[in-house]
Amino acid sequence: MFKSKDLLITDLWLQFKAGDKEAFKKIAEINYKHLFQYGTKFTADRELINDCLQDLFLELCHKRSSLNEISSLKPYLFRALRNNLLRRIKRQALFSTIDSEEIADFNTFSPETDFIIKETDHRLSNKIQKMMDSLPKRQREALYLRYYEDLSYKEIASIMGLKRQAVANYLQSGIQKLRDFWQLHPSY
Amino acid sequence: MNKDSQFKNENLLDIPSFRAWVYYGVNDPLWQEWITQNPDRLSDLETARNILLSIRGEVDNLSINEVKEKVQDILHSSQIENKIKQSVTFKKDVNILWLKHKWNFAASIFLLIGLGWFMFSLTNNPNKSYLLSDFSKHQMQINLEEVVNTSDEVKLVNLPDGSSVLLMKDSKIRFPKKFKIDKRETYLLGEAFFQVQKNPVNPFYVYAGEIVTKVLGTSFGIKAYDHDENISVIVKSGKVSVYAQNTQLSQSYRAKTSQAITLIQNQQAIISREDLKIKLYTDKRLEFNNPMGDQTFEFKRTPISEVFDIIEKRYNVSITYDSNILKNCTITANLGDEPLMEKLNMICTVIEATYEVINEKIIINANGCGN
Repeated sequence: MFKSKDLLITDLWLQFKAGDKEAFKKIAEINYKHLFQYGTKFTADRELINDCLQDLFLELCHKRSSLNEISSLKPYLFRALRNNLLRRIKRQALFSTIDSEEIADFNTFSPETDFIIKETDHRLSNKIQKMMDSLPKRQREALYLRYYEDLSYKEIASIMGLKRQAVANYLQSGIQKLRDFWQLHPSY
Repeated sequence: MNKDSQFKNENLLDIPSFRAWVYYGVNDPLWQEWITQNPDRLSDLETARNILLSIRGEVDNLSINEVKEKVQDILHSSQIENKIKQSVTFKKDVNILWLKHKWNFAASIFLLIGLGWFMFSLTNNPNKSYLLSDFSKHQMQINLEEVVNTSDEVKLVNLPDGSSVLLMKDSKIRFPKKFKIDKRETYLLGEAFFQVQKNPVNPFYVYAGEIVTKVLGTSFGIKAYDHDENISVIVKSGKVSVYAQNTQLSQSYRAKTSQAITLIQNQQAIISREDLKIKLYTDKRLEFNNPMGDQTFEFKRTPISEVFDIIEKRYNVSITYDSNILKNCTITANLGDEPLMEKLNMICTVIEATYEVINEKIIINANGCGN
């Protein structure tokens, strides 16, 4: 299922480079939701995320003729969003009293999403939150990109600006910690 | 298709189709079948599933229409940018200029606002003041009750629906003599603590500067002084929804500021008046002038006189009652964050009394608590 999706995107990509507006639109539509969700892990500011995505795709559109060597579109988009978003978040943080480190980091559980969790699951979600909070933010991000976004170690390394081995280490120890936690909390 | 042997030694997490099933429900019958065939793997499956869900975290649901809309915007922008070189009408020029030189345009907006401030402050207010929203102008025209608090103490305001407002110093609240049938609307300048009467079919709105706070029944504080750069909303209990008004100012920002943020207990939203960006905090960053302090209004066989004392102090009201008649009365109740009127209703129901509010004083009529 994923294989055919990749092919589809490659095809579209070629059409897009040739100047096909419809292809560009499809590429944007296919990737938008996941990019947006990735963005929400860094900030609650939805307008900022949308802004960055707009800039990202506009730039993609302009540069299409010079973008020759993109072997895979997805890591390119994720990397561009990450860089752009983090830069803007940190810039904003210069004028606020909030610790920029805290703002511009990956956080699967952010306070404003707490209310999505139903009342009955509150206790468990607290436990999960505590557990996830105990993982380094880069580890959480690497896990997210690997398991939810199906990216390879190499691709994750290029997105996050890490060495491939660092990614492998994060993933290995991350999965171990998660496994330890969930084996203690069976059948929910 | 012999899935059992295929997956027997493999880590479920590393199987793409397992992930697809957990995240998107792909091939559900296949996995249900697999579990039936391999019941000993059930706990493995649950663990793997839970791991994957905690890795993903919460899903932010952008609807298909929202995505299509955003992509449309992108296409539109790129097309407009392409047209810059061509000759266009004046109207389009403005849009193009705005998109291409968005910072310049934003600067001129600020310049206009600066002038606005200047004019406003010359005529009305020596202190710096932010652009009044359309709503502020709107509410000045309607016939509204207005209560101002210039004293250092909190001032209790009882709203037509029984809700309580404790106005802080240098604050002003406006509200109609009688609320509309479908909306309860109030206008705040400054700082106040609200305890709103529950009414799910009649939402309660507080318009404070650039933001609108919508509640169904809850207790919260809003701080929106003219001279402040930020507006703060803190929820003590219940749930409120906060969003920026559709004023002229917010329309000219490309970012749509109508996104609502929901706050629950112990959450605070700080809205920057300049760019209408909203930041959300929980617990530790809370700084709040809570007139109720630590008082939970939980009483256990508490003598009525003590209950009334506490209420008098917290709401800054005076309660007149015959202490002799009521000397045997005690209350066991959790009055929580109910508005003052509601608290009095509950108390009076228990002690079989009635109350009236005359000239801002509360008078209790009782027959005593016989045994």
